[in-house]
Amino acid sequence: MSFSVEKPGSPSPPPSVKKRTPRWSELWLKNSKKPLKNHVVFTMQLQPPTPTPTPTTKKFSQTPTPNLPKSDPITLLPDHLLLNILSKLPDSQRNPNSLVCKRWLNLQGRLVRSLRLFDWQFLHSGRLLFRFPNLTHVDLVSGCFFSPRNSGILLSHRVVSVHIGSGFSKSWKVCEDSLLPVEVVDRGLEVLASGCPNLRKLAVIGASELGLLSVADECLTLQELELQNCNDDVLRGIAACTNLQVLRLVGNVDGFYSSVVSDIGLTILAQGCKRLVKLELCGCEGSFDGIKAIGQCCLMLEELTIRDHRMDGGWLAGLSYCENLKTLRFQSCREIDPSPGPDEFLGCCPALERFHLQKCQLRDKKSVRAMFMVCGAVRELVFQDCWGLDNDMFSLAGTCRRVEFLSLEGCSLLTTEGLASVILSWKELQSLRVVSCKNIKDSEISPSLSTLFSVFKELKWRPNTKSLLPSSLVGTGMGKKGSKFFKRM
Amino acid sequence: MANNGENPSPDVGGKTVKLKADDGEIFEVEEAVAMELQTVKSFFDDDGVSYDTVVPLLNVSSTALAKVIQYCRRAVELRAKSGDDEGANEKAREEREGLEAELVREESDEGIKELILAANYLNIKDMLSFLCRAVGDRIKNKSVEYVRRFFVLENDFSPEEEERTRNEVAWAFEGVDAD
Repeated sequence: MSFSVEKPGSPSPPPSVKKRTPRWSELWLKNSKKPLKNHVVFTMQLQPPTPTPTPTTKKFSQTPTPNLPKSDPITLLPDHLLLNILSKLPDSQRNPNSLVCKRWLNLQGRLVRSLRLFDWQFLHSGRLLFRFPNLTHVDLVSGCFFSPRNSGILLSHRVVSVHIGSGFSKSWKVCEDSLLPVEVVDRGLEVLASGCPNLRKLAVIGASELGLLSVADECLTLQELELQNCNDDVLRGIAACTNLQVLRLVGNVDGFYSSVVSDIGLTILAQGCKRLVKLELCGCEGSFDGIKAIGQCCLMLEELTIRDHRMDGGWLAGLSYCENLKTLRFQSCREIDPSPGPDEFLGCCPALERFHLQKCQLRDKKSVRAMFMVCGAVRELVFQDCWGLDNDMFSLAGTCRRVEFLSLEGCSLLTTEGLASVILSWKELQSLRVVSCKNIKDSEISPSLSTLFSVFKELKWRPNTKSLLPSSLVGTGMGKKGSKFFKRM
Repeated sequence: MANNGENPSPDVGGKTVKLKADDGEIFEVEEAVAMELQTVKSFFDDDGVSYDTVVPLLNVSSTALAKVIQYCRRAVELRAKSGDDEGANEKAREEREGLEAELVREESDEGIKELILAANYLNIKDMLSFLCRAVGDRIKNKSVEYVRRFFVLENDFSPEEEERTRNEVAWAFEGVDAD
């Protein structure tokens, strides 16, 4: 089909047309300049982004079919369709797909949102931002270390893992030897911030407040932050992160690094991050004043996790200022509170619903008692692998009158009688879970206890299991002690 | 396969629309079916365009157009069947999925590519969606070479660039599953 077409006067640059639907009727019926532009634009839409120059603007053949080679029409697929196809492929195929051709490297990179960095140079050179323009979650912690590439040694802690060389320092200052200098980390943060305006989650170690400020300036959507090797000075930059909701501060990790987060830092944090919902303090110092400041300023705080703390005595009472706190966790705490202070000043967290204790030492009666008083309103109580929880200590939990769910795991000092004396007094108790508590014996269950069990909504009673073997390993002899494990071949 | 004679005009006196493929072959389809093709719909949305006008679809081959029309016809029928009744909806959905699977199963790689280009050109959202999925299935877990052959792509990396990209993948970063 042919029609006569007015040649365009001069090849004007086509307007940006992503949103414009092509008007066919204009194209074919109305003989005006406008449709030609649209046609050019429409054709251009079908072109792949790779720079293959096609002279569609200059000359028009009689039939306005796009001047594209017939042999590979699939290159006409626009980006959004290819992205659609690529996004449905498994993650394992991302890396091979990136090697198909340059266009695919670009497209595949656009689909990646979360990344963990290992090589700082990849960020510093700008290559990270070039390849992955749409990042929202970035974990830089592993990249902040000088790590030998082929190291077979992974030194791992709950919050940080690093590959180390076999010649690492004898004084166990792993991090101090191999952390990148502060200026380098700050510069990297600056580069990252400039290229990731939509950053939502960031984890970094060894930054200073300058690096943090550059992130805060550019990445207004930053919601989650993890700062390792953090000290009071670094926290000066945190007030600029106005949308921060989730924060984890790691001051001290034994054997890795040691920095001090004290009341000063906690107060700065409290005053700057009023929108905080979830806070985790690992290896931090501080005292009543710091916790009180957080409670008074961070009114939306719902979850607080205290791990391996080094806080001064009397800090527990500060928790009662956290009026919206719903979940409280103590993890790996060597002591709860050496001197909690008089009862009348302890207070109680009014909105607390869940209290979880993991791997804590509960050996000091005074502090455990104070702890239960502060958490008196709790509905869900979970003990996991805690030391020192004998009958006496557990009886202090009777202060919590509203418990509806209790979970005990790995509490080897508690006996059935000790358990019974508390839970029989809990009128609201509906669910119970007892796993791997070797001194709780089935034979000691009293009639009143079994009556109580029968009315529970949920009951998981496995005090004798040492560990639960996955069903795939049953029968292989794994988990059995001694000679039975090693069979004669 | 398809030609004029295959499209009986509905008795209701519903309008039909004429579509012309790249080789000049003309397909007469019911209006409802033709409007599934957004490109055609836009063509007629304009004022003053009568429905008698033949719509030229110069980027679509007659084989592809025939299949598209066949799919859209069935899709329109199935949509009419499903109403408020959940059971009927469910059945219609299953039938449609069966239709899509059948269409895709019979196609060669070339055929699928041609169809997806046609569906893109004609702007048919549903068809594009399952065709993309079908293409994805065909290249899932396939090697780089296979993917290049499928899409007829050339490796335009220089050896240094390719080496650098491989190194980056091995040492520099690791993708993390989103929460």
